[in-house]
Amino acid sequence: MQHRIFVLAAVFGSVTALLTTGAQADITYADILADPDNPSLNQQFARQRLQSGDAKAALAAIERVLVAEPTNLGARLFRAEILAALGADLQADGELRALAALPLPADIKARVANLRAQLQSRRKRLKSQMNVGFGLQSNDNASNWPSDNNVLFQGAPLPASNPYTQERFNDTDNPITEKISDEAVNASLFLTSSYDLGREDFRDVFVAIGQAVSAESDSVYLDNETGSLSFGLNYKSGAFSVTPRLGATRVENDFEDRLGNYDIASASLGLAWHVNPQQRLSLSLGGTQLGFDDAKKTNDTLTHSASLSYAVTLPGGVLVSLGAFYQDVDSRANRDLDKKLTGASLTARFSVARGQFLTLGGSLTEAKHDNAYSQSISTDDPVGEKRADDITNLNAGYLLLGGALSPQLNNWFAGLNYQANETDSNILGFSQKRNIVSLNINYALNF
Amino acid sequence: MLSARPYLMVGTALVGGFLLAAAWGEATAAPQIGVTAALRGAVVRTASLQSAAAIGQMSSGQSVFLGDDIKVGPEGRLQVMLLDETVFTLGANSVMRIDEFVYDPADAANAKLSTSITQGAFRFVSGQIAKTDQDAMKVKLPGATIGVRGTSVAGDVAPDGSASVILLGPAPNNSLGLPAGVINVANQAGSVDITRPGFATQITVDLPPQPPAQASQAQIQSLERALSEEASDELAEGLGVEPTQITAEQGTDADGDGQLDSFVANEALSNAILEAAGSEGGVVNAQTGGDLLEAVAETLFGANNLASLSDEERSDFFRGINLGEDIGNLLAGDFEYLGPTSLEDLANSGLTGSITFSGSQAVIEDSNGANSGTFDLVQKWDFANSTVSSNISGAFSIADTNGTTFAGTFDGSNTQVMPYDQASSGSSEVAFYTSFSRFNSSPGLVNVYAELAGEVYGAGEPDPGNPGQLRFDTESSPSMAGGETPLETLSAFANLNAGSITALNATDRIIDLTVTSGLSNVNRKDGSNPIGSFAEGGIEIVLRDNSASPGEYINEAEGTIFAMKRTIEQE
Repeated sequence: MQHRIFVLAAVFGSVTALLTTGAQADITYADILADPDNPSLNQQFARQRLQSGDAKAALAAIERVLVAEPTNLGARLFRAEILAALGADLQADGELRALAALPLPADIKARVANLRAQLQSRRKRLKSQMNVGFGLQSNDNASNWPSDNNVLFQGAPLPASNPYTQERFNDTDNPITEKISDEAVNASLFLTSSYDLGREDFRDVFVAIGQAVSAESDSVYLDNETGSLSFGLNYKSGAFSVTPRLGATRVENDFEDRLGNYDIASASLGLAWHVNPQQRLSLSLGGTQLGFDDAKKTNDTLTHSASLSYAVTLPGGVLVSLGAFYQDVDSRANRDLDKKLTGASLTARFSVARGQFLTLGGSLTEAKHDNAYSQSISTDDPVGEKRADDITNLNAGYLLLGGALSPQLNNWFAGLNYQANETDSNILGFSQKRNIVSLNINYALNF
Repeated sequence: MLSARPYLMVGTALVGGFLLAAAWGEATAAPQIGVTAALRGAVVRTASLQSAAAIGQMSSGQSVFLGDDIKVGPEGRLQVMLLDETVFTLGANSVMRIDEFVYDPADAANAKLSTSITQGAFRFVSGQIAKTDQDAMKVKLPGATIGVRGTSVAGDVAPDGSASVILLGPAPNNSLGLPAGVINVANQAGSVDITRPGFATQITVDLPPQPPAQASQAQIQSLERALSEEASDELAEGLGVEPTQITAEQGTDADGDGQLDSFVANEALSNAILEAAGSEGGVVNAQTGGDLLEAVAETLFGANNLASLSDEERSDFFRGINLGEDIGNLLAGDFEYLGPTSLEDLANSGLTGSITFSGSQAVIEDSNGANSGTFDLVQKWDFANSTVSSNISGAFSIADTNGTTFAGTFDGSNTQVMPYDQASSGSSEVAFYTSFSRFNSSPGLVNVYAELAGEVYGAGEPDPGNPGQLRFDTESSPSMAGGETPLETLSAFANLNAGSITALNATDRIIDLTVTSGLSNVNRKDGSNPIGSFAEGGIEIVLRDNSASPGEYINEAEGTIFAMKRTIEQE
C-alpha cells in the first residue's frame, strides 16, 4: 500500500504533496543497504530524505526504483522535480521530455509542461524581470526639521576672515519653523536584465533601469521623481566573486527651491569571499558624485566609501550580517558639507514562516564635519570644536512572499517597514528625529 | 594507496551492523564499506586486494570491500552504496576501485574517501564525508583528480584516459536550501573550479583541465544513456516500443466535466499494450502495468474524479497489475468513454448474456510494502441471471507485529456466486454495493459492484464452521441485494494453515478478507454492440485485534487486478 500511495502522490501531487503524505515508519540507510533493490523501501526512503532536506539521497534512492521499475511514471516525475530543484536542469528536462511524450492526463501533462517552461526560462541566456511597485509612506519629519540651514549659531561674532557667516545659514526664503508630518503614495517601475556569458568565471552582465514617483497633497517635501540606470558584471573565481557596477540617478524634487534637483553618478566594486556555504565576507569600494542643478550647485559633493560586512547563516536559517563602513564626503564649493562618516551596522533576518521574513537592524554612525565655523559650536570653545553628529538608525521590516499564500500569488510580494533615525549633534540645540513607516506591494514578472 | 584506519571498523559496525549480521556473511577480514545495488548485466569483481571476497560476477545487495576492483560489462550498470551514503552509479564498461574509506560518524573531521575510476561513465552523489571539507573526498581519474564538496557529479572516462566531468548540482540558491555544490578538478598541469551546475571540463592526460563550459543537452543525454538512465530509452524499453514510437497525445474534454470524452489515438502505446496482453490473460508485468495503468485510468476517467479520492482509496483502486486488452483498444481509438454506466445501461446495451474475465499472479502487498502472496481470479458476470461469480486461487500471508505470520490459501475448487439486484439499478450509485462508498465520488469507475465478505474467527468468537476455514456469512453483507438474499452456496473460500489457526487462537486476532468485483464499460465509437468492458477484482486481508473495532487494523494486505483479461466473450 505504501508503495502505491507514494507512486500516486508522486503522480498526482507535487513534491510538496509528497512531503505531506502520512507518517510512515522511518526507513534508515541501513534498511536500504540490507535490501537495496526494494522499490517500496526506496520510495519511502526517498520521500523521507526529501522531507529531511537531503534531496541528493532522495535522488539516488528514486534512481534505484527506476532501475527496477523503469515505467514508474510517478518515480520519473519525482526524479525530474528533484533534479529541477537541485538545478540539474538538463537532466530534469530529459525526464520531462520523455514524460511529455506519454498520453498522460491533462493536468499531469500541464504540470510537466509548466516545469519544462520554468527550466527553459531558467536556461535562457538573457533573463529579465519587470518589477512594479506601489506603496504608502508616512514620515513624521518630512521637512527634516530642524535642518542644518536653520540652526542658529551662537556665540562670539565670527571673524571677518571667515567666509561662512551666520546669515549664510539663515534661509529666509524657505524658513522651516516646524516639524512637518506627511504622508505620500509612491509607485515604481524597474526593469532588470542579465545576460549569461556562459562562463564559469565571467558569469553575466546586468543592467537595471527604473523610475519611481512619490506624491503627496499636504506639502511638497515628499513630491519627487527618481530615474536610475545601472549596469555591471559578475565575475567569480573559486570562492571569490567580484562585481563592478556603474550607476546614474536623476532626482527631481517638486520643492526644487529648497531640496534642489540633482544627478548622482556612482561607481562601485564589490568583492566577496564565500568562506563556506554559511559564511560570506564582503568588501565594497565606491565613489559617488552628487551634482545639483543651478543655484544649488555649491552643494555638489564627491563621496568615497568603503564597507566591510560579514554575513553568516545560523541554524534555523537566521541570516546575521555585521558591517562597518567609512565615507569621506567632499564638497569643493561648500566646505560646510565636508565630513567623514564611520559606522557599524547589525542586521538579522529571520524566516518566521514559509515565505515570511522579519528583518531587524540598526546602525550607529559618527559624522565628523570639516566645517570652518567652529566657533559657533560653543561659546566656551572659541578656538573651535568641529561639528560632530551621532546618527542612530533602527529599522524593522516584514516581507511576505505571495507564494506563501497561494501559488497564484507567486509573483507578488509585500513589505512593511519601519525606520527611525536620530541625529544628535554637538551643535547646540540641534537634534533631528524622524520616524518613517512604509508599506509596499510589488509585482515581479520574469521573462 | 589503500588504507582503512582501525576505527573504521567502529564506524562500519555502527552504520552497517545490521547488514553485516544479516545479509551475506561473506568471510573476510577486510572492512565492508558498502553494497552493490540496482545492478544490471555483467558486473564483475576482478580483484579484492584486502578481502577474501569471491572474484566474479556480482549481484545486487552484495558487499563491497576496501580495495575491490569492480568492472562493469558493456550492457551493465550498478550503484555502489557506501556506508557514508555516498552513492556511485557506474555505467557500461566502467572500472572502479575504492582506495580509501575512513568513516566514523562520531569523528567526521577525519573522514576520508578516495576512489579511482579508470574507465567508463560514472555519476555520484556525495554523502557525509564530502559535506564540509573539499579535501575529504577525492575521485581519481586517469588524467585528473576531482575534489568534492557536497555535490552531484557525472563524468565519462575514455579508454585513452581523457575524460569529461560535469557538475550536476546543487545549484547556488537552489529551492531546497542546500549548500551549492563545488568541485575542483586538478592535475599536475593545472586546476579548475566548477561551481555552476551543468558546466563541464574536459580533461586530457598531462594537460591542464579545460576551462569549464556549459554542457550541451546532447552531452547530458549521452551520459545518461551510458548510465542506463536516459528516460526515453528506459520508458520505451519498459513498454516494449521504440523510443520514437512514444509520441505526445492529448485527449479532449469538450463538455468540461473533467472527464476526457475522446482520445487521440496512440497507436504505438496501444499496440504495445495489446501485444503485451497477448492471449494469456492480460499484462502481468508489474513494471509495465502498475503505473502505466494509473495514467491510463486518469485518461479514462479524468483527473478531477480521481483526485477526489484519498490516497488510500486511490491505492485501493489502482493496485492493479493486469491491463485488459480493451485499454489498448481504447488508446487505439476504437473505444471512447461516454460517462457513467449503470446496471440499467448494461442491461440495455446488449450485455444480456455473460462475460468471463480472468487475471493471474496478482501480487498482494501489505501495508509495509511486503509481498503477502499472489492470487488468480476468474470472474463471471452473468447479466441474464444477475449474478457475479468469483473463483480465487492462490496463497496469502499477513504478518503480526510480534513476528507471527498467518498464512493460508484461497480454495480455488469452489466458486462463489453472489446475486445482485438489477432492479435497483438505474443510476450510477446502485444500492447493492457494500463498503466501497469511496467510489461514489467517481461515478463510472465501478458501476456494477458486489462484495463477498467473511471472517476467520479467533478465540472467543462464534465459530461458523471448522476452525480456520472461511465461509461466507451472508449477514456480513447487508447491502448486498437488499442485505437479505442468501448466497447460493456456503462453500469454503479460504483456509488458514494449521499452525496459523493455532497462532490465531493464541493471539486473539481476527483476519478479515474481502473479495471485490467490479465492471466498467466503454462504448465503441460507432455505437455498435457489444460495448467494451474491463473488469477489476481484488483481495483485501485485514489483521486486527479481537477487541479493536473493524477499522483499527494491525496489518492490511491488498491485491487488485485492475483490468482483467476478457477470456470468454458474451455467452
